[in-house]
Amino acid sequence: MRAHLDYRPSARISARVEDGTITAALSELRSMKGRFREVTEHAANFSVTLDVPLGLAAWERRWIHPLQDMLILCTGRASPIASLTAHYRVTAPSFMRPALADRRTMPATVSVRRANMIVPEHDGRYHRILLPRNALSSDGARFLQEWFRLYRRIARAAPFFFATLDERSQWLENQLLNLTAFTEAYHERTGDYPRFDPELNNRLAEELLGQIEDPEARRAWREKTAYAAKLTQRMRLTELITRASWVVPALERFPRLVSQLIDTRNHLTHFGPRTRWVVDDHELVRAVQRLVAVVQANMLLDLGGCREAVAVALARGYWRSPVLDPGEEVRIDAAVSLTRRHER
Amino acid sequence: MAEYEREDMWQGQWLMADGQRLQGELSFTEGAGAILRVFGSRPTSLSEPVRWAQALHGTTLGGQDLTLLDVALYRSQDHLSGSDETPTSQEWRSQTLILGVHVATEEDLQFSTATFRISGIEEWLTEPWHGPAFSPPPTLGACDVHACVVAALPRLGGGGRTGIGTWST
Repeated sequence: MRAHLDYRPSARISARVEDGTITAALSELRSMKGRFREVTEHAANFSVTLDVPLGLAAWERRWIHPLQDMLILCTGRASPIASLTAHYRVTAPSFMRPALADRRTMPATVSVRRANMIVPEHDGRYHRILLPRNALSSDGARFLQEWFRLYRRIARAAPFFFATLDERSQWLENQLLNLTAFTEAYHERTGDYPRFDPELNNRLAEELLGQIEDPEARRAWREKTAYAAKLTQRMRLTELITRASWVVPALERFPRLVSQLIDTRNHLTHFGPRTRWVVDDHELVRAVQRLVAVVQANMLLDLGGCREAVAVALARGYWRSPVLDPGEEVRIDAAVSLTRRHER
Repeated sequence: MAEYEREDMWQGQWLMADGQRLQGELSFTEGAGAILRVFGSRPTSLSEPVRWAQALHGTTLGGQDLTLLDVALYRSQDHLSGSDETPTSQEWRSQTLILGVHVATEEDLQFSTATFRISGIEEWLTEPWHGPAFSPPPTLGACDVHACVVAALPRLGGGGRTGIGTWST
């Protein structure tokens, strides 16, 4: 059957965020090449229009990287920027003005190419992404607004998480340090509360410091006591994992995850004692991956996701994955014996 | 991630950092960025070539303006001729290429609309979803999930409430 030449269905999402309007759309253009060949072209991109023009660096920092990171969260995989085109209006030469709608300006288009812009091959066909746009149904605009609100709150801590997910050549130890630093910052910015009354801490600290005569010792104790009312990294991580477990009960299978992450991080950064929970190699890979799942669950909840939907998102993203189901782990010994048995 | 290398090339004239106008060929590949090879002649009175430029401006044979930002001289070769003009060839490298305009810095490129493609956007826009709606309708009493859950968790460092029961969809 011959297709309609103007058939252009589109999946789109659009929202007004701060002083800009964001639209993400997929368009499909079908055309006939000769009598028997039909060509379908897909093109999807973000389009952002701001009330006030910005410079390139500000564009990347305020709009492009946040949307890139949103895709990293929603797809659960690296999402490099593939292309960037800037549109603006310039004053037209006088001889052209009579032909222009506003008699004054004409559109200009500029293409920006950076070395790290990569057009990847479509390798995601068999990868289930966590949260496709269709999960948002008619609520896409609110999701985009919530995303930017959350992203602005996380602020400069965001690269710790998203660059780790986007940069696959990072050493595992670096991933662990980045992710634990991020979780601490994330909790601090989204769910912080004091362990006890900060005013009480100030009074206790002053009483204690009054008894110390040595100025250097007093300075050192002042630094230590200033943070006494703050949550520790272990406490923050425990809360985030507990919250994620509420959505993804599979995480309850890893009761030592906090200890593994904190002890390994301390072992690496302070060259501290090698406790029984310090992990390496394969176990470290899994601990890091589970921490990523914890952050994903928390972020999706903070974006307004209901418990069931976030659970489905994580189930999609980690379908048949040993990250949340150790039963899916490939056991080399078992595989080898199975192969030998088969050969016999 | 599997990637393929895409290489684009432009030929044209370039205004170099020392004020010379040289013919050149610009190539751009993902990963390596922009490589500009220029050749021509320059006065022997200019002893050392400039090694870095904030921006280099070029114009293609078709009349398109090109800008390279933060450009470093990667290789330079002067061919001694004994005259006032020295034949020269240079290779410059940059991570950023702007096609369509001459600007001195990134901040000079001010624009209010941008279109950009990020890998994965097609799948994100099209993949089906068979779960419940992500956000509950406001009429069902959406609440601050974080506040609900954290408040319901056992308080660290002191007794508190337990059990999670305040969230409903």
